[in-house]
Parts: sequence; C-alpha cells; structure tokens
Amino acid sequence: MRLVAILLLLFAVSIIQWSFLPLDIVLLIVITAAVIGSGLEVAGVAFFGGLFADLAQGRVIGGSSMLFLLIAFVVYLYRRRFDATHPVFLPFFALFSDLLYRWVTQKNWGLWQAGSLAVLAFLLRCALLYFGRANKEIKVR
Amino acid sequence: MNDNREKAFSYFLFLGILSALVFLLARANKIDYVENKLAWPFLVIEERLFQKKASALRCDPFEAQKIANLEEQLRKMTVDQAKMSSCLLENDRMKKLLGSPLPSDWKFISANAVSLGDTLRINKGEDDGVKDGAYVLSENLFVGWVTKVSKDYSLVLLPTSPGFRMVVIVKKPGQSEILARGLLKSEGNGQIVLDRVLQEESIEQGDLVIGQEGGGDLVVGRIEEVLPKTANIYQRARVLPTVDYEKLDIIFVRRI
Repeated sequence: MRLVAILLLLFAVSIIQWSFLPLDIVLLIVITAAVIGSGLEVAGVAFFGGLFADLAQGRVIGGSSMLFLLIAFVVYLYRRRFDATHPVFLPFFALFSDLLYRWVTQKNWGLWQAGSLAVLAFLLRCALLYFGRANKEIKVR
Repeated sequence: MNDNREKAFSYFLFLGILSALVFLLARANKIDYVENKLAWPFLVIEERLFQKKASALRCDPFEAQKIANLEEQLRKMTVDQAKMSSCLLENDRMKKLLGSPLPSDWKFISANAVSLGDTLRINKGEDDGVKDGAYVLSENLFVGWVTKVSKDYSLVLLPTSPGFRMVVIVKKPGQSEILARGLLKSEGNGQIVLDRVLQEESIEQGDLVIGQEGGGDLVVGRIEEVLPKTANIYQRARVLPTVDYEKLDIIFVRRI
C-alpha cells in the first residue's frame, strides 16, 4: 500500500517536475526512500521513479531506472555504514547523485540545481526527523 | 540481517537487469507501442500544464483583472467560435511564416509545445509526417530541429540543449552583408556561445546570429556580449536566443 502511494506520488511529481520545476525532485524521493525504506521499496521506487522520469521527458525508457537503481543501491549500502540521520548524509548524496544524473543525461553539471537539491534534502531530513519517521525506521533496521 | 541484505541485493539485481533489458529494447525501437501507450498520460497532462504555464507567462500581471474578464467572455463562446479562434491564431502565425524570407517550396506542419526540459517536446510525431532532422520554427524564428520522432510526439533539440552545434553567420539588423561566420554551440545551463569567429572579423552586441538552411535565413539569436579577446585565433560571443522557449505555443515543423 505504501509502495502504491509512493508510486502515485512519483507519477505526480515527475509530471510537475518536467512542467514547472528545474530541480530533480524524483531523484530526491528515490534517495530519501533509500535512507528510510526497505529493500523492496527502495528498489521499486528507484525503478519506477526512473521509468516515470524517462516517460515524462520523452527519453529512451530504462536509462534513468538503471541510474536511479545504482544511486539507490549505493545510498542503501552506506546508510548501514554511516549514521543516515547525520545532517550531511542526505544532502551529500542528493548533491552528488544530481551532479552524476545531470552529467549522464544532459552532459552538464547543473551546479546550482544540485546545490538547491542538497538544501532541499537537508530540509527534508529535518522534517523527517521532526516527524520521527526516519529515526525510528533506521533504528528498527 | 544478512538475509534481508541478500534479499535487497536480489531486488536491485533483478530490477537492474530488467531496466537494462527495457533500455536496450527501447533503444532498438522494439517496444515503441508499449512506450507510446505508457507515455500517453504524461503527454496529455504535461501538454495542458505547459500551455497553462506558457499563457500565464505571456500575461502582464497588471492586466490580470482584464484578462480574467476576457477569459470569462471566452468561456461563454460557443464551441464553433472557440475552434474558429484557434484556427485564426494558427492562420496568423502561418501568414507571418509565409511572409518571411523563407524559400517558397518549404512546407510546414503546425504543432503545439508540450513540455520543456533539456529538449522541447511537441505534440506531433511520425503519424503527422514529422521526420528526424526537420527544422522547427516559431513564425520565422529558428527554434531547433527534431532529434527524436515517436508515433504521437517528437523531441526538438534547442540551441540551449546539450550537444547543440550549428554553423551560423552574423549580420547587422537590416543589412545583407555577412560580417562573420562561426559555430553556435550550447555551453549547458541555457547558455549559448558563438565560437570559431576569426579575430579579424568584426562582431558587436546586437548583431543577428543567423542559421542558413536550404536557401533560407533563420534568425537564431542576437549577440548579447562579445567575450574578451584572448591569444586564441578565434573570438567568442554570448548569444541570446530570439525565442523564449518557455512561452512557445504554436510552432511549425518543416516538412521534409
């Protein structure tokens, strides 16, 4: 059920993102899911997030899914090694993932967009901690 | 714990292989039918959102009340009148296009802009006669060229798109003499640069940057700033496109 809700969110965000926003919110959702989600959720969100991103942009489908899965897998592995609730963890991965994604798909770095996404990731991390979700989930796993 | 990790790894591996398979099949155009069906809801919603955004950008904020009244009046018009208004707008653009100094044998397909990312998506595709490499114009101004054609939609490579390169000439507005030749290319982040212009050629701010295709002059942009000279044999200039890609509505694709 949670996965379906996230997929609907991804669908809406991917459309709004490519119509209005210069920031890669779908990628941010994928990274956030990789920090707080279970293995199946993380992989599912990365796969469908990439698929929706490609469909919304008219790109060859599957490319972004591969990249999102790779990014999500790295974040998923590192969340066990480091403290995923650390203020730097989510913004760090948001920054470098966005740089990588933009470079692979658009051949430009988009520094200010990546920086803005990192700031957004920090705010999201604060919100998640405030609502107690991330902290609890990570401790359980 | 290890069990969970192995399970997670198998999910990633499975979906990774699936993504690679989908990517390869899509690249080889083997799943075009499925891709078009999946893209359809995105296309419909994005087109509406983009048109709303474009019309909002075209509006003067101080005239908002006046526009709201006009919109109310427009809503009251009959379906036929609405259709006629749409046709008139298209005809108007077509008239301007035909009146421009373009070769008379050029034929066009009218299309609507759907969404704008690093490329522009338009609502006409293979079924409407759009072909890869076709030039896209707004009135008589260069917008880009078609870089990918699907059944119902196409992607247009804009001068601001990564990887864009075009041989251009530079002229003063209202004059026919060619001042310089160069290579127009995208520098990423929406920046366009005119490169490979010989140092002895004189270019100035405000000069027109024009692409030449099949005997037609297509205005791409204006020189915004000539970059400081270096020891290099070429000089460079920053170019401002003449078309605001975010405000595009009806555009014309050259039929080839």
